Amino acid sequence: MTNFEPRTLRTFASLRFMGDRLEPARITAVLGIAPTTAYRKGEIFKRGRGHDACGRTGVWVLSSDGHVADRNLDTHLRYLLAILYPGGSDDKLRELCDLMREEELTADVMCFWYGKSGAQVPAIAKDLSTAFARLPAEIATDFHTE
Amino acid sequence: VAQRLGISRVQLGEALHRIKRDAGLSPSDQVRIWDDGSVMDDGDAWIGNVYDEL
Repeated sequence: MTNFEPRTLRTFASLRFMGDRLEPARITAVLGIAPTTAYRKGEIFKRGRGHDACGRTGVWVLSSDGHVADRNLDTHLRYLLAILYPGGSDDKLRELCDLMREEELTADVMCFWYGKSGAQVPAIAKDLSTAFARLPAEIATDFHTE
Repeated sequence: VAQRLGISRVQLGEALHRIKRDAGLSPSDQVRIWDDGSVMDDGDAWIGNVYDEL
């Protein structure tokens, strides 16, 4: 467990799958939870002020934001792991690994953290990164301080 | 940039994180931010607006 930094202002984590052949409904069916954002390659995924954003590849994202009311990044990562390993089972993980091979998908975990001036950036606990690496999903950090 | 857009640095950081994440980019990918909040990727394609994420 990582020591909690009380000077944390904002944090959340997102599990993300990407690939040109990604079919969002298949990932949703395996994980049993609606994504925060999901689209196929070539789909318009965002509109605004006279612009459209078109998917360069397929994307499926589940964010802990809005699901976890905690400023400890560990808690956000453990929320995502509880979805990957419900009840400690790795059945969903195996299904996802098969799907990732079949659709040639990649996965990562994007972590956002923002702290007050002088705050110590969080360290990702080894057991958490190891659990995500089984997908495999690399952890990408986006850490800043005032 | 945050000052130019009239928002806090944490708001800007969070908005850019969400925009990059949803566009399939990594946190280290470079983007351009216009005065109206529009965010463009390295290919000059629009990928979101900072103000839409606040």
